[in-house]
Amino acid sequence: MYDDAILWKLVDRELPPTEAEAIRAAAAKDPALKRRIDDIEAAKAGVLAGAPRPPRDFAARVAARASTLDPAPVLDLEDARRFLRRALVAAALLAALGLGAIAFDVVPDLLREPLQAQPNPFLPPPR
Amino acid sequence: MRCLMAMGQRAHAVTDRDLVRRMRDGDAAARRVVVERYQERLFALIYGIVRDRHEVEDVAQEVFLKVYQRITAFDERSKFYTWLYRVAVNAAKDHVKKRSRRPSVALDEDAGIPDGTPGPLDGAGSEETRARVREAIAALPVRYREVLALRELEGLAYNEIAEVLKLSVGTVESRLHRARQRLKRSLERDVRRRDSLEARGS
Repeated sequence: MYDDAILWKLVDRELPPTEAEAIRAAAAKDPALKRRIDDIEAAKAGVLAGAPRPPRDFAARVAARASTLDPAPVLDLEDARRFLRRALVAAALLAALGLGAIAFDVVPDLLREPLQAQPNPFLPPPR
Repeated sequence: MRCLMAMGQRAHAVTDRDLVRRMRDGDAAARRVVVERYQERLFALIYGIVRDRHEVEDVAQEVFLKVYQRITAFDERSKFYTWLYRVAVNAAKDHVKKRSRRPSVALDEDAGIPDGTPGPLDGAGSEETRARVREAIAALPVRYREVLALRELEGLAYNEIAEVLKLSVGTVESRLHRARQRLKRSLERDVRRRDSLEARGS
């Protein structure tokens, strides 16, 4: 009756309260539904389980490393690389689109045929 | 010095906004408060993506150092923690990428072996279930691990995850759904495999 996506939203507390209450009430009467919700809760709990705790002197270690930092803001090479990658992908896509348009003759023949001179409505017609 | 002592006495009462302003002024005590306030959450988040307990601390240190260096670039209109989590997610993803270029590294090599210091979520479910979930998550692509980890980190709402990852809420929902479907399939496969092994053994 309830699909997994709804049950995950229930466990994530992303459902409206009335809907959540209705499912919880149904689960109280239906052991199979209750088991499915329990499984999802176990899977949720497992996502970050096993994460290490920071060592007691972690803040001191960070402070020690921070004291050697250059106070001037530095250019972040990873951000720059990420930006460059995205720019290259965008340029490649544009080039591919342009080539495709030329190959399939999508672009109007503006370059091949000169625009015809339109008569100016404010001037008398040529004799 | 007076500032440092005052911070020590009422660090919990200082808002993130105040801490950001003090860090911009180079206040070392404010930096320390930020580390103490967020270190556990950052360790959990980074572990959720990197999936190797031994690598978490190095990445977490890098994250805090980046935050100190880039604090002037932080836009105060957004929440500090979403920005901090974004820096952490990017650092963890970069770390995974670099690791994948190195010759074979066993992921989560100590899964299932408690190290004596329980993590924040230990105690939930059986150790066997948690070990199976950990293995299944380690096998997921990074784009799924990051949404799962952010979702479980203090139950961040879908819109907050979207803000951290600079994605739409719809994309976050669909990635979460796909990640969980994969997780479910992987766990079901595992149960079937164990069942068939037990049936053969009996």
